[in-house]
Amino acid sequence: MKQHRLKRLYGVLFIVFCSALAFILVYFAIKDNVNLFYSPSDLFENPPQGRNAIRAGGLVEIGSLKRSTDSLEIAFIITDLKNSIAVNYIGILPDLFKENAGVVATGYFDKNKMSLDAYQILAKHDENYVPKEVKKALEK
Amino acid sequence: MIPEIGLLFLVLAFSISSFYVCGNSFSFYRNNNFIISPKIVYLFFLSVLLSFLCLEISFLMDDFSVLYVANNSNENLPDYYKFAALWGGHEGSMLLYLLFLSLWTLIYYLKSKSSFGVFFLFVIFSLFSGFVIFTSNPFERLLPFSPEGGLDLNPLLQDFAFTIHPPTLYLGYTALTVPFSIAMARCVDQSYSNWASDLKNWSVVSWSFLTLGIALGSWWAYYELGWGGWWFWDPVENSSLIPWLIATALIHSAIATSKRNIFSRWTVLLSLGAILSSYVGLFLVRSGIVTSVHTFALDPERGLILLFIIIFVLIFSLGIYSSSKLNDVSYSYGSILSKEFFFLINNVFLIILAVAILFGTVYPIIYEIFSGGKDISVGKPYFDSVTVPIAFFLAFFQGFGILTNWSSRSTKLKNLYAYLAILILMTIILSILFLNNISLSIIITNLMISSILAGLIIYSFLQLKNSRKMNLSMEFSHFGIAIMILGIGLVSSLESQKELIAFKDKPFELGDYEISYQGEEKNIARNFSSDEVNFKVKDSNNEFNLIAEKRFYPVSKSIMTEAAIYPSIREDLYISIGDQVEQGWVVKAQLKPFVRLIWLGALIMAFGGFLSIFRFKRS
Repeated sequence: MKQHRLKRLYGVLFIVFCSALAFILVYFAIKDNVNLFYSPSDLFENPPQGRNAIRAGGLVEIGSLKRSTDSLEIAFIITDLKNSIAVNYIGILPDLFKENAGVVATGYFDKNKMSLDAYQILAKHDENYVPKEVKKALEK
Repeated sequence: MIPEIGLLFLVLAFSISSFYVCGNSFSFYRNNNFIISPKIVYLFFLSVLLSFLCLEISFLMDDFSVLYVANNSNENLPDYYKFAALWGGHEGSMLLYLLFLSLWTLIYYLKSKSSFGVFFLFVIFSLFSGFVIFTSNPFERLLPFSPEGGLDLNPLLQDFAFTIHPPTLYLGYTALTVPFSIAMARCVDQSYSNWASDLKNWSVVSWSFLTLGIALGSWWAYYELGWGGWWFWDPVENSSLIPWLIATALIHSAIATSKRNIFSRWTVLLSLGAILSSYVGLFLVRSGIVTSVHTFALDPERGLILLFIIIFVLIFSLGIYSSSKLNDVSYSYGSILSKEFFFLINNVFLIILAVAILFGTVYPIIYEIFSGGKDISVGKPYFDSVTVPIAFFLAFFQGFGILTNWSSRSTKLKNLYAYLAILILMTIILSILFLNNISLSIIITNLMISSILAGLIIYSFLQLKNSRKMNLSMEFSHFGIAIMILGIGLVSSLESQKELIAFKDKPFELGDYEISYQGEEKNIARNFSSDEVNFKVKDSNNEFNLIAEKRFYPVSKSIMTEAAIYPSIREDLYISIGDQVEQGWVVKAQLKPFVRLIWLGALIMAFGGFLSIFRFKRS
């Protein structure tokens, strides 16, 4: 084999090797970090399997928001007008968090208590904007 | 009248560009020459500029009979925001995009005079101006019932950074069209001899603006969104990062092509990849197919046309590419220690990184299609765990890559040993400096920056010793990366925060600071009212006040939080507020050590890029 052909082969092998490593990296990273979206009804019908965090979304039920007086613990109920689940959260709520407005909570779901321990609460910026997933869940 | 004149000029520009493209394609096919002179770019640029100015005038005169103005402005908005509100929504920002595209076309013509290059720039302009005129006309009127007042600019956008971040980024995006057009021109025109160095220079132009634009966006998100984060892996951020990574790869590949006449096919394909990735970003954001903090109205029709443009550009360019004659010199790269091989490593890792980020960004769409409508999101941990290892190798190889020579002049093994010695020594010294809070992530950070710095130090030393000229723009750009990595590594490993309810008589501590809530004042500004919440902060030697705000914008009925930030190079104190409770405020206080280095690093990188453009102008 000519010298430059051999060198080209090294280059190709290098690219294949790196791509394979990257593929493995991506495969494992995506497996653990996908957060499925559930509406409250989905959570009743078909609760999540596995240990990944999930996202649950719906409307914040009117009158359900409870705040602790001496800590940042917050509890409220998300509903899709058919079923509802409880959400617990510690921290600051986003500016657009309102009762009867759309919200998406990310966290770990407890099947026995039907409640979500959220570590992130998202409400969208636009005042009449309901997150895409929540809108779909409400229309079901 | 003014909006109609604006539309007329836009249609004129569209006509000029498509006339040039069609007329010249025809004459080139018949007689192998161009009948329309590229001098037409003067007229072309003028008409886009006038069209842009007409929309600006409509904004400044509060002409709410124009739908786009009514949706994005308000009479109470300060004038500079009225001016910037032009790029506050989809239609206007596309017009800004066209303005910059025409500006680059003009400058490219003035510098290179290649009528083929102008041809391909006009192809892209025709596609996008057609898109704007037929699906996103910013001059559309609301007649005869025009509203009294405007709906106002989104309060998030009413900020200084909004006046500069989108234009800078768009200058970068649109400049990517030039390397692409040069590559296409080379495929058609064998006599375009200095195409590779032209292409490299224009990639640097685009890259510098993208660097600056992305950094401005990150800085803005940091202080405006109130979470204290500087990068969220939001689809919109990713769709600016992917073209940036490809542009970085393109610069290096084009250097190899211009200096050694290798990788020329790859350079052409990369320049195509760079603009396509920016169009995919445009598609993701403008079609509303993914949810992001940059919400644009959902419009499937626009998405479809953008998709059509992407596919058209892809097929059109691949057609031209496959019929072209591009020959590399016979050897591909020299030994493993040659600059050729290190540029190959650079490109492989950068492209893998770009693809991995792209994959995470579009995975929710793929998943939704194949699972029958199930929604998922890919979290920050995915992006963190994929980018960090790849970035590590990039930094590691980057340092020694700087020291390598082209295969015509072999790289001395002595340099490799010196490099490794300095790298290890520096990592140890840096780790001792941070001994109090040493962790794996700090060591990795130190290793990454030591590697880049070791390369730069030995390079400078060798150039000085052999009295060769130093490539300052290269040095600044790579040094900027090291500074940025240092900032990212340190803030990610050392940041701390406290969330609590702050009461008037109960100060709390964070790091060396003692923070106490003092009370709030109502304040009425021109277009919003706010609660200004006052904090007194004490550290060992001084005392100062910080004010966080809760703003209410009556027109859009939205609430915004303005965080209180005490900035310094060493660390930022960042206080954001939640709701007011009986006696106090819900407060999140954060310490962000060395977070400013991230943007400082980006500034240095962009400076390096601009330095090389300046040289390119002089030559």
